[in-house]
Amino acid sequence: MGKNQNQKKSITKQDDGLIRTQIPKTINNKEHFQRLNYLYHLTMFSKDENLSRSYVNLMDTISKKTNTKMLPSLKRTYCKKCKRVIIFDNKLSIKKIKGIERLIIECKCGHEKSFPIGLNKDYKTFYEKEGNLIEVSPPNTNIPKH
Amino acid sequence: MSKSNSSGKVSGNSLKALDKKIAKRRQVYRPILDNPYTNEGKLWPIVEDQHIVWELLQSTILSKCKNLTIDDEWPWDISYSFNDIVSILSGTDESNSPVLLFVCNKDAGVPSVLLQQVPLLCYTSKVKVTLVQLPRNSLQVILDSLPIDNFDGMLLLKCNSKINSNFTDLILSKVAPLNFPWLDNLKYEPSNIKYLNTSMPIVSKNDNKNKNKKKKDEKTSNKSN
Repeated sequence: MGKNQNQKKSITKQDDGLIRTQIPKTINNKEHFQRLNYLYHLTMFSKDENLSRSYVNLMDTISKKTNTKMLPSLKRTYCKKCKRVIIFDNKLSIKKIKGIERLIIECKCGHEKSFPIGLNKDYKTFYEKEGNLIEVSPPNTNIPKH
Repeated sequence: MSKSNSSGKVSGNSLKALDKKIAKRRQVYRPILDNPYTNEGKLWPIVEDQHIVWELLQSTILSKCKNLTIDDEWPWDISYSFNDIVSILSGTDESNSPVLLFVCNKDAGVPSVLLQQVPLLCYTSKVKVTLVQLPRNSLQVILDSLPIDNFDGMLLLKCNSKINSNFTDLILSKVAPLNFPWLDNLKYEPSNIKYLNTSMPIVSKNDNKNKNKKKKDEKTSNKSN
């Protein structure tokens, strides 16, 4: 009974064949996200490159096993092949391949990320479009001092 | 009969109206992890009195570029191709003079993937770069004034003796420096490998085992005899 009442409360209105619901107040499987976030911090701050790569590898497998999603802006910061953080070692260039301008980001290992920017210069990913990403809560800026 | 409003909505009991009433999809909020190291507010350095900087650029550089062609010898060292800009910022170019990089980051027509690379590229560059974001609709003005067809929304100007020092000083005073505190620690250090001075036995354990086995075999053979 209580479950049905909660469901009714969450459903607010229905228009254009879409049942609109309220934004949930809690996040399911928050621990997985926290774990991924922590691993990403470690990758950024570990001075050993091999250790950093292993952390990214772990992060990647955890996100796949637990089905937790990451934004493209985060996934683009590491190489999908060698799992290196590509900020310092990348080579950027615009090349014309088959008549289409492509932004090519080359990793130290030789793997290339290719973005066809010539097709549509105003292209935005689904996540970059306005209104699709909703902030759950503002980040906690009051860090306790030890 | 169904009646359509001025807003285009269908009212009444028509099939279209009934079809809209039947829910086909449900709104879902899926959690997704964002990059913790993206501070959109500080990614692009703040420019004080942006209109002054923009007018100054127009009056000193862009207005004079209108009369020039690509084949002419340009009075300043200007780069507008993305590949050229990257090669200058990565330090492959011989002269390492400080540069001003003007970017039309607020205009449509500049790919967002390209813009995402720019602040980090400037920050990690060996050359001293001052990143200046230009106001909205500046892309079209630059396209009109430069004799080029393809423009990636970036204009690099080398601060050497060819350019007026007052112009560069004024722009430098108006633009805040790039700040990425999380990147300071990111530069990898070479792995620190050392030698440890120890000793090891010359005769290996396996040799001892073999000797023991041989002794045992000998003993058993003697007993049997």
